[in-house]
Amino acid sequence: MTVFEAGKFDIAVIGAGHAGVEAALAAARLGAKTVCFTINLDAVANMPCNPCIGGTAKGQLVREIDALGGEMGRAADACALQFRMLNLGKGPSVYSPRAQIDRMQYRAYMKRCMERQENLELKQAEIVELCVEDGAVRGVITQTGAFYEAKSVIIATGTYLEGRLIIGEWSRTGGPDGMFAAESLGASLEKAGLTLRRFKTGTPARIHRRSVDLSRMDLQAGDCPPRAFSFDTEKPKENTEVCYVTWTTEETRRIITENLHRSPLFGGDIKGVGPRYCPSIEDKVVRFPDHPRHQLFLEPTGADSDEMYLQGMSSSMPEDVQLAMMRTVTGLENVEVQRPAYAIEYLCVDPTELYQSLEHKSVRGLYGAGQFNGTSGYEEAAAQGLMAGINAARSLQGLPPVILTRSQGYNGVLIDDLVTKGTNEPYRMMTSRAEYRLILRQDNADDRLCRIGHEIGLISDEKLHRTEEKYAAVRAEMERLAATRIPASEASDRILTEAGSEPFTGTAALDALLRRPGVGYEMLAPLDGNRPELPRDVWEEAEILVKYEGYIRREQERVAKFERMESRELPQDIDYNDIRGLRIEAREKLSRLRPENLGRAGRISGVSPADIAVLMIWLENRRYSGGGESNV
Amino acid sequence: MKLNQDAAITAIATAPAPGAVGIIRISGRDSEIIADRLFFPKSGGKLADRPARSAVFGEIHGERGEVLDNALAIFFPGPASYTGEDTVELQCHGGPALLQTVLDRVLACGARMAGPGEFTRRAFLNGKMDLTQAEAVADLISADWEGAVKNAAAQLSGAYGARIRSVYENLRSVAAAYTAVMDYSDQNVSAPDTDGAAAELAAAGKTLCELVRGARSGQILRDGLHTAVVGRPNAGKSSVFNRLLGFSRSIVTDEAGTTRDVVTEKVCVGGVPLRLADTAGLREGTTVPERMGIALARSEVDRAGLILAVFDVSAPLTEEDEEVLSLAGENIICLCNKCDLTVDNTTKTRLENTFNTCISVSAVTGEGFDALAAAITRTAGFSGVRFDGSLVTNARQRDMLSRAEELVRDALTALELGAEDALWGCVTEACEAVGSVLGIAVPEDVEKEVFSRFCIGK
Repeated sequence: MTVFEAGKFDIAVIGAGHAGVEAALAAARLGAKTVCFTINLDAVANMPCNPCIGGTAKGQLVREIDALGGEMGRAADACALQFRMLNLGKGPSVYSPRAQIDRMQYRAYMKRCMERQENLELKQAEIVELCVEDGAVRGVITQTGAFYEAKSVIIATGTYLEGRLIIGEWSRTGGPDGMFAAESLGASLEKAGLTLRRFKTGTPARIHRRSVDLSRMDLQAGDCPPRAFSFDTEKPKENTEVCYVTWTTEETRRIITENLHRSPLFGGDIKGVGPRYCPSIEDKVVRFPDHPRHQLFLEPTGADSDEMYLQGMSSSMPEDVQLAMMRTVTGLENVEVQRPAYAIEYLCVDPTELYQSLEHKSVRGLYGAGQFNGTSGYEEAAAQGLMAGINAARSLQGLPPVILTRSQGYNGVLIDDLVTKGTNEPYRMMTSRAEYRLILRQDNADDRLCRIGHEIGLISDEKLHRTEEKYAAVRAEMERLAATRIPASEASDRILTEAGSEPFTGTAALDALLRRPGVGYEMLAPLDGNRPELPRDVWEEAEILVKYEGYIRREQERVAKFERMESRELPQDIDYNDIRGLRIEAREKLSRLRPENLGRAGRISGVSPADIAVLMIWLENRRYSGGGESNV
Repeated sequence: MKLNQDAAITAIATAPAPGAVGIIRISGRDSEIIADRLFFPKSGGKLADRPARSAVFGEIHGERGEVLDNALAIFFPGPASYTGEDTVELQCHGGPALLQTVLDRVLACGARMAGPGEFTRRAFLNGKMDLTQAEAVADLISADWEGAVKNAAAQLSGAYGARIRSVYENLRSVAAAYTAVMDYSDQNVSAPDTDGAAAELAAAGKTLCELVRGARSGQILRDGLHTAVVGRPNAGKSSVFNRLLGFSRSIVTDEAGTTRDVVTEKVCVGGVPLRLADTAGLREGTTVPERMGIALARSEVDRAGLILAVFDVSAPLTEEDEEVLSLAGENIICLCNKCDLTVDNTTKTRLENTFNTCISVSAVTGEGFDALAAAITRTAGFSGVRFDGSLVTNARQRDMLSRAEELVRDALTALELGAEDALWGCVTEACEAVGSVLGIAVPEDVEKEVFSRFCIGK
């Protein structure tokens, strides 16, 4: 085929899913001339699985993306059908915003957003080749022979890279939602030296609303008032949709058990590694034989659609078995399936081949983001896309990469986990992975990251100013609460007793009362005569900081310790084979991953605390001997 | 294996007890060359020419060729040596003074003085032992008390691991329950039963508390309990001191005085190893100027874990006694000395009203020293302590367990506050602290439990 010169760009983004969109927008906004390729222009920012954004830990990621200047939060707010804050009542650090999304509207929003973006061209094309010269990327070639020169390339191929769909005994190459797969790029990437492997994920069926007996299901309504993702959204949309909860039955179990031999998961046809937290219904039935029933959710997919997403029932059973088992679910006896559940296998890179900047270690200018890096989830993808876009653009401007630490955000945890520990299954963000989650809350993402976003150039002066004013007001209110003592009164006796707390005598400081179990900021209002009128997010922030003061202080001490380890740099020219005392596995891993500091070294699987002790002693000795004598 | 040796270090490798054989170890680059400069085999030639790992009899010569000692020398080429480096051991006769002379000679011949634990550190770095072994060996080296040896040996065989493991499992169970409900709240995970969690935490906290309290005993076992004998001149401090030495009849060791300024003596009283500070002021009261008395005693008192306050119960209290009376507290035992003489009842009553524990003794007759031994056992917290390997003697492990204990307390407070996220964090951290003692990769382990206990997935 004739290859022709089609244009010169700073940055080419392969894929316009949630990672590609954020990468392309960030790069273009930072002034890089950017082109973004998608296999289907109607599927920009498609949501082939859950019609929702956010959720535990993912909601925190979206808030962080927003605070850094990404698009996902604003887009979700614009296209939301229902908002819910998860984990209310379990403590502010695990509050996680989540919203049901109109997926067609979301696609349209993001496509329009990209089309309007200066410096950004959005094109429908399949990339078949990555051009590399002297260890650095030169550009990409489309299936029709168009060569686009690019100084950096960001790969965000999602499940498209050599995608293979599986439903029972049937399988074919393909991407999600009837799209084509990218069939040639994988070989080109392997030729460039990348280590690719196969992961697997799956999605449940979409069913028609009219075929479902919703009256027999429990209703799950949204929050009142709803809370937005974006710090820019002043008033979130009203909830317009609800979700429904139903259950599988004993009959479901029987059908699954009798047809297990037809499941490619158990028959061995699926070789890709699937996520443990996202098992198919057949997995659940096999692993938990004692559970008489499993919970399912029906989620709306859009205002203009009757399709409903059947959460909890992902499966790769043959279509006839799927239909039979669905019809045993309470309320689904007459279900009409619009799209069956399917599993999809795809190629992704071993993320330990990437730097923290998400640039590949052996191909200069090549970045990876999203499912290509071994993650799962729209939010994880968007977070990485944003960082890859930022870092690719900065690299071209001669600026150092922006690397968020584990104590700065979930985004930092996500990328550090990926590139340091790697992953053997599609990686999902969880609150349990963030060891400093008491300070990485969804409510303070703006405090943590707006300044960084502003320095990068993605956050406006106005937004930064707004954030700074907000936190100045928070501090002022905390000081006022500490300085205000109120006298005991009948009202204070009554309010505290109602809160399940002891009345006090004499006077008490408001912050001390607020720290008591069961006592909240709002209920103290009648005792707090000089209380200023404050926006909800301000007083809520003050309330959290007062109530959690002790825990937050302790966490900050841990962070300080963490930062000390992170600041102990490991020279990049260390010959780990020369350090006696390191175990062989540790030598091999350290030589391959070349961690930048002692903290990261300690998080590499296969490097034990004893190995870290050896490295510490080695560093110490090296320091004592003035770095001259390395034969420790 | 490529031997990449460090400069030679040396030290006396045995506790220098008079009359015993003392070993001086040289380890590192050119050890045998250094040895050749001072050790001369009786049969002629050089040590380096003799077969490795065989004992060679010879003389150790001083600077001017004078014979310092007759000794055995053994050359262990690396990596088959304790440190993994080329090592020479000189087995000398005689007491501390002679050993010190030989050591000085070795230093003059090119070795440098080993820092604390440096041999073990090199052995560890050369892959001769893993971290836990290194820690246990470090304990064994200083375990010069029978109980401590027993305990350190039992730890190596994992006897005390069982108790810690049970705490760990308690904590992991609570951590997993909260992890499931926090990360999969949109799924059908039932909320943890808070009463159950509180009970599990309380149980874990209790065992941790016992282990940590035991750790104090463990530390005392290993290091000895710093003990100060105080009292005004002529109250009988020195005779009490000497009586204590006689009572134990086992001066186990002098701590090698190469780097330390204060030489202490360890005696075992009532099963408790005491580290009696050997300050001149306390030991030989008669020869020391009065002005030093109180000052020295003061500094000893500050660092002491146990104070033995000696009073002359046959005489009225003096102004100098008042100074000692002001020390009254938990860790002090009052000795009403000279009880064999006529007792001054005013003095006795005053003492009994001031101190929680008063023992009537006579340093001269030995009367009351059994009761004193019992009181020391009690005050040191050694009553009912079993030396079965369940004592934590290692500082790192103790720190981790005591951290975990504190975190469990914080978790219980958070539970009361209804701050489930803080509770979850504290329990996870506590789990990690205990897991680090057991060498368990905690996050993965908790995750495993979450997936095996809860049915999770979209």
